[in-house]
Amino acid sequence: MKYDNERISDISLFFLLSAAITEVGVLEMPRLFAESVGRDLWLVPLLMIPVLLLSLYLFCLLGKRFPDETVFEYGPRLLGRPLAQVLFAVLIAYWFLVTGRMMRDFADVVRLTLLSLTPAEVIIGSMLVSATYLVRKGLEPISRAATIIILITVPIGLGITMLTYIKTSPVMNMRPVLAHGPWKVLKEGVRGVGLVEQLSAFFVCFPFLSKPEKAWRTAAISVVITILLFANVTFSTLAVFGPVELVHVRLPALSAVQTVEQPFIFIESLSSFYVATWIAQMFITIAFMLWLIATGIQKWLGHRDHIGLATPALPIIYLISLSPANVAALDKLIRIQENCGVFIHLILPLILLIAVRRRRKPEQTNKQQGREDGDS
Amino acid sequence: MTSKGRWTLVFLFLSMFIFCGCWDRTEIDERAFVVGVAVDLAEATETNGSKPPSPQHFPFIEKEAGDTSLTYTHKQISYLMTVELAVLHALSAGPSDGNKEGTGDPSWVIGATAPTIQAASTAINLRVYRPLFFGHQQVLIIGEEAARENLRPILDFFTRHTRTKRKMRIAIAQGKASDILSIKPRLEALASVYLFRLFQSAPQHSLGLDADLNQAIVSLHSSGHAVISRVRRSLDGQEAYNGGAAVIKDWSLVGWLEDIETQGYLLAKGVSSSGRVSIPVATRPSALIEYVYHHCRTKTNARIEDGKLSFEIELCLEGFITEETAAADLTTEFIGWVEEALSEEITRRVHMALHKLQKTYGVDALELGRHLEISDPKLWERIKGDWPQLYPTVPIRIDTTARIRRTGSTK
Repeated sequence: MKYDNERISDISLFFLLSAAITEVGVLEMPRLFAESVGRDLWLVPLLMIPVLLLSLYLFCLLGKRFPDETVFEYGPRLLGRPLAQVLFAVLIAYWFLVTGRMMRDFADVVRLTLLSLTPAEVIIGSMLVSATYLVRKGLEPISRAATIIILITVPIGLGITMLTYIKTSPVMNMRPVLAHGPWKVLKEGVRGVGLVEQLSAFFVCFPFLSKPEKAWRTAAISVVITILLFANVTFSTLAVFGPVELVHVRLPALSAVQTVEQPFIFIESLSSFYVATWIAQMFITIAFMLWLIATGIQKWLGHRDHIGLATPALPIIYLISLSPANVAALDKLIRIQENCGVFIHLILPLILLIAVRRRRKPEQTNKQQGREDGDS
Repeated sequence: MTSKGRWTLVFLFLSMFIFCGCWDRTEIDERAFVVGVAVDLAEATETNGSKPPSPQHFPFIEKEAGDTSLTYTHKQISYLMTVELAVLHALSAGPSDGNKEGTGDPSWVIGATAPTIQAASTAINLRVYRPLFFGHQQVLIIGEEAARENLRPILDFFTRHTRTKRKMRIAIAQGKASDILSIKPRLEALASVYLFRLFQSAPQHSLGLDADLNQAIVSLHSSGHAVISRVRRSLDGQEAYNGGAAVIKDWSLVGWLEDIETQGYLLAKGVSSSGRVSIPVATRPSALIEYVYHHCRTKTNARIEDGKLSFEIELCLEGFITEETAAADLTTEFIGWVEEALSEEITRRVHMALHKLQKTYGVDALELGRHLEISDPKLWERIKGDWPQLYPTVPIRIDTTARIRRTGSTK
């Protein structure tokens, strides 16, 4: 089944994925890594790259096998109907949880940096309503918006981050390398794959690609470039704060930008520009996650289209976003989602690929038997 | 009108309320712009009592068995927080050279006493109806007594606040911090801006420091130690003096480095980009040669020889002669002699700083421990627990090379 009105090109996939991956993580990741591995935090994004590529490869193997179907269509054939229903429920619940957590994080960052008096409910509500408008138009408009936003915001964000290197260098703070052995860093590198929640979109999005055969190459380039941008942010925060202070700073990427001071920078609040670029990228992330939820439910329930399903999802996301009592509870939720993400991005595709292989064997045996019967 | 059009209109109407961000609307003339803050210790009284801290408020305090007979010491501290507010209409109307005639004073210095900085800020708001806005704060001056008590509770407010900038300058006042903030500078309309520029100019002479809040807090969180700017007020109260440095150990002020010691410290740390050194001419004791360096390269090495740990700091300076009162002929031999004398003088200054930091205060401000950790992580793991005891006894060798590249416009 092909979705002509919803298809996106490989270039669009590149920009969509880049914009979608850049969410709250870019501001918070350095702190999370510093809490886990200390001085070696700069190695974590670099180690995440091969793990993410492995996950992507598994998704692409599934996509190659079922280019015209989503997991909601081929899942029951591979796992059996009851188990598939459980899988669908887990996936939808995960996407709801991720989107709700992102919304809460988004509201907290906006309140912390720009709109300190505006209620979180209003920030969350307005973002969800505006994202829903885009979701109702389909995946292609989301990808077009992503293209525009990435082309404008990434050079600005990158430029601002590079300014932090003028007075500081991360090299002293990087050394000694792996003084406490490689295991903690390796573990965090694998766990880091759980922080890139948008990878799970590959369970759904292959039928929406005009050239699914190019998905692996395009998505791999997009993921590598985006994670390298993350790595750059990690290096800059390590340069400005060092591994000890990083743990104390709530949004290290933003606070690092606030320390930039050069005579040629006439803009008083450089961090506001940084937040503005981040909000634009966040808009795409939320819209994409919302589209994923709506499309997932549509496929699961066998609905005609996803358009009417985005709006009913909003109250659930809204309630989830308000459920963490405070920032400490939110941090805990991020860690839980990270572990869930490792299961969904690495283990689940592997289970499905094993199921594909197991299903193939009886088919091959049946074919072979059929041929032998024919011969006789 | 179609159903779609009606919904679009409803959406547009609602968006007026949800997208405008009017909760945060604050006009520029409704804010009190804080440009500088001074914090002094107002009162510190110790009370003894048998009442322990309430465990429900401090669940992390474990009650030891049989401690009911103990007496608890409770220290009540209150701070005097003085802020300098920018009076915008006076600033915009008046000339920038500080001539305030006819325009009113562009600076309003006001203070309040309270147990916390937040409480003091609220207390100031009882007299200043506009909310205090810390987004343009340039300097934070902490009084000597407050710094000797504990810096942590003071700095917490400024690092936690969402509007303050970590690039604001921080200094310890020798004496009362509020005195520094109430000076009337002639070059700038606001004392805080004058102080900010004063600190910014420190790298030109290296006799004082240009320390921002981020540098201080990074150092304090990492080791509890830091060396930050010292500021003093002149006797006539007209100007401030940024020379020397404050030495912080375990978040408290333990002493000072004088001007030349500060230069020695900055040279050894490798962060002195410019400065001057003068040496007497041996043949004519009253004559001096002034040398200005504009480049300094520092290399710190940890050495372990025969199982003994030592450090070597190599300094290489490049500069020029700006003044010489001996009327000497600046031949190659004479320049060579001056270079040697300069190297000795710079080594002496570094030694002075190191002696104070190492022997007197026991503060590893040069981060020699970090250098050892980088060069020999395994050894560091073994000795890091004993480092506070080991550090004051470790030999440090200074090797200085001063080069004279030019002698100015005259020969």
